[in-house]
Amino acid sequence: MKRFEYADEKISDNQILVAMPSFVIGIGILYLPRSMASVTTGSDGWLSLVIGGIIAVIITWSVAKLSASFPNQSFINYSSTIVTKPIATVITFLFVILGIMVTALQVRQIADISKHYLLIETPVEIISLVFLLLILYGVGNSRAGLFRLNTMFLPFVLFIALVVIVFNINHFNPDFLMPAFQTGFGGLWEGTKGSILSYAGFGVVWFYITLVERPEKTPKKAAIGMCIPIILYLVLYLACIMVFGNSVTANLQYPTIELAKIVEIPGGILERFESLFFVIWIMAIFNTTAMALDIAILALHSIFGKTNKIKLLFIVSPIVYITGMYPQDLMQLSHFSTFIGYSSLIYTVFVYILLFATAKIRKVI
Amino acid sequence: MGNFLRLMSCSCLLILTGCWDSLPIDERGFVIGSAIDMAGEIQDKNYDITVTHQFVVPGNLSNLSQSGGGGGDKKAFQNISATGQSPFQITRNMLSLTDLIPNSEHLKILIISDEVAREPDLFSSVTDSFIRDHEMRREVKVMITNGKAKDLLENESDTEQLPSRHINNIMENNIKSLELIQSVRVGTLHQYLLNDDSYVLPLITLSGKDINYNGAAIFAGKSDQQVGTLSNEEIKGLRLVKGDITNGMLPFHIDGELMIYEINTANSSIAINTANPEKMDISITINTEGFIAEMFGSRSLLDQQYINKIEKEISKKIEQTVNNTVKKAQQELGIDFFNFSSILRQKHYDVWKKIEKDWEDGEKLFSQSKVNVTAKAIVRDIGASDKAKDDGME
Repeated sequence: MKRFEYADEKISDNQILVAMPSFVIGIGILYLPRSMASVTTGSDGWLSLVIGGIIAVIITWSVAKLSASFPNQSFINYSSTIVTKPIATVITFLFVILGIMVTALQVRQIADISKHYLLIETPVEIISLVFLLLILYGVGNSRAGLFRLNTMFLPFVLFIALVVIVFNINHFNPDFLMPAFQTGFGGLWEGTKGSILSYAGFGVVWFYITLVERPEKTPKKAAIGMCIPIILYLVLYLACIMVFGNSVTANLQYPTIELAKIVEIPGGILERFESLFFVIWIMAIFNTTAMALDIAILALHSIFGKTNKIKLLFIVSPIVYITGMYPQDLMQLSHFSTFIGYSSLIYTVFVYILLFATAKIRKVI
Repeated sequence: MGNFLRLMSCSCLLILTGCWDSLPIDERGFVIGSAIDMAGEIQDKNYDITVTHQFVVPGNLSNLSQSGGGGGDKKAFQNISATGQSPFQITRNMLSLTDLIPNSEHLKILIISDEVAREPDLFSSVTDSFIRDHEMRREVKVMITNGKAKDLLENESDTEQLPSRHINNIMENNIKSLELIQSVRVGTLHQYLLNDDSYVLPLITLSGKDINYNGAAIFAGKSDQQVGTLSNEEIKGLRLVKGDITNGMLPFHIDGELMIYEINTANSSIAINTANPEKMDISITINTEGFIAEMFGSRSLLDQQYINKIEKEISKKIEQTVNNTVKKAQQELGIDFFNFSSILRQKHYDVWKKIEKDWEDGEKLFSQSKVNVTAKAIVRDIGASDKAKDDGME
C-alpha cells in the first residue's frame, strides 16, 4: 500500500496556534458550564474561567518558551542535556502514560455521550472500538496530515458553536446573570480548579514545538492559540447561564448539548439541530484524541528510537482500549477524568519547574 | 503486512454489518401529546396515575388541499392510556397495547390534571421523566387542566386533525391577549422545580366541545403543588406587573361609558426597598402606550383635556387591577407568584439570604410587605376616525 507523502514533517508556528485550541476543545466544554454553575452563585463562574484561563496561558507560554530555546531538538534530547539521560527517559515515559490515559478517557467519554444521545442500543465497547480504530488511522499516517486536519476542522467547530449561541439569543434572559460577585472565595477556587482542568492541553507544547522550524515566535502563537478556547468557553458558559439560569445549568448533565437541543432553525428545516452539532463536535474530539495518542507515540518513539511507529501504535492501542473500558459507571469515570486532569496539570508544572530550575543552575540556557 | 491488512478489513466487516439502533420509521409511534390523570382514589400516599399518549397515525393525516380524498373519515390520531405508578413505567407498559414503539421526540404538549397538581410533591415526581429523558425536548409546553386531562386529547377540532397540535396552536396564539400567560416550556418548568420561587402555569379547560385557554394555576414553590387559580382579571394584574406586554386590551369606564384601550407596549420596573426587612417596600411602576380601540360614548377625542382624563382613568384602572391581584397574592394565598423573591435574590442577595426562610413561610414577610403601584398610561392614537356616531339624543 502506498502512502501519500507530505513534503516534510516540519510544521509552522501558525499550526501550533491552531493545534492549541484543537487539542483543548473537546469533551470538557460539554459539561464545563455545569461544574462552574454548581460551585458558584449567579454568573460568577466567569471569574473562575478567566482566572483559570490566565493561569493556563501563563503555563502554556512558559513551557513553549522553554521548549523554543532548544530549536529543532526533541523533548528527550534537550531534557537529557538539562537533567541527564536516565531522568529524561523517566520523564518522557510518564508523558507517554499520560498521553495513553488521556486518549483512553476521551475514547470512553465520547462513547458514553454518543450512547446517551444517539446510539442508545449500541454497546459502549463497540462505539469506543470504532472510534479508536478511526483514531489509529489518523495517527498512523503522517503527522503533518494530522496538523492539516486540525486546520481544516477548527473553523467548523468554532462556527457551529457560534450558530448554537446565535440561535439561542432570543432565549437569553439577562436577569439570570444576577446576583453578581456573591460567590465566596472557596467557590471561586473550586471553579478555578475545574476550569484549569478543562484547559489542560499543555502536552501539545512540550512535544510539538520541537517540530517547528523557526520557533522564535512560537511561544506567543501558542499563548494566542490558548486564548481561543478561553473565549469560547466563556461565551458558551454565559449563554448557558442566560438560557437556563444557574440552578438548571448546575443540574444538567451536558448543558452545552442541551443548548444545542433548544436550537430550532426557523421554518422547521432542521428540527434536531443537536445531531448536526454532535457530528461537528465529534470532529473536535477526534482532533483532541488523535493528538493525545500521537504525543504518546511521539514520546515513545523518542525513547525506543529504532522501533517502527506503526508497530508502537499497535502495541499502545490495546492498552488505551482496556484503560478506557476500566471505569464501570459515571462516578468512576468522573473520578478518573479528574485524576487525569490533575495529574497532567501538576506533572506539566512539575516538569517545567524541574527543567527550568536545573537549566538555570547548570546554566544550560 | 498485506495479509494482515486483509485480515483487518475482514474483521471490520464483522463490526460494520448491523446497526443496533436501527428502527424503521414506520414502526415508530410518534407521541405528539401526553396527558396525566389521577386514577382512582388516593390511598395513603400510594398514587396510581393514568398516562395517555396521543400517537399520530400518519396514514390518516390528509392534506387539506386534497379535500374529499380518502382517509377523511378516519382519525389521524390514536390515544392510548395505561395506569401505573410512574409515567416512564406506564410508557413501557404501553408496548403491550400497541404495535408501535413510542417515540417522544416530537412531543409538543404535556397536560396535567389539577387533581395530580394539587397533591403535594406528586407534580414534580410525574414530570421528572419528561425532564430527564433525553428524547424529550425542553420545548414541550406544559399546562394544567381542570378535570380530566385525557378528554382534552380526545377533543377533535374542525381546523386541525390532531388535538395536541390544536392545543399547541392555541398556546402559541396568546400574544394578542392580556388575559393569558405565556406558555411554559418543560425547560422553564425544570427551573421552577429547582428554585423555591412560586410560579404560575397555564390553565386550560374543556367546556363542551371548545377548549378554553383562560386562567392560570398557581403553584407554591416549595412543595410544587397547585394552591389556587387566577381568573382572567387577576392574570391581567400579573401580566402588568411583569411588564413585557406587546399586545393586549384593557376595557375601562369613563363617565359611565365603556372604552377599550389597546396596549401596544407596556413595561414595568420594580424596586424593592429592603431597609426594613419586616415591612419591605415594593414599588411597581408601570408605563403603557396604546390607542383607543373602541368607544361607546360619542365625545370627540381630539380634545387634550379629555385625553388627559382618559389617560388618568386608564392609569387608575391599571392600578386597581394590579392591586386586586396583589391582594389575592398577599392576603388570600400568601404566595409570591409575582416572583419578587427572584428580584430580591438578584439585587439584594445579602438581605435575601437572611430572610429566605421567612418570605412565604415562617414570618410571612411577603404578606407583610407594602406594595405601591403607580401607572402611567399614554394614549398615542385614537384610531382611524374621531367620532363614529353623532351625539345622539343630546
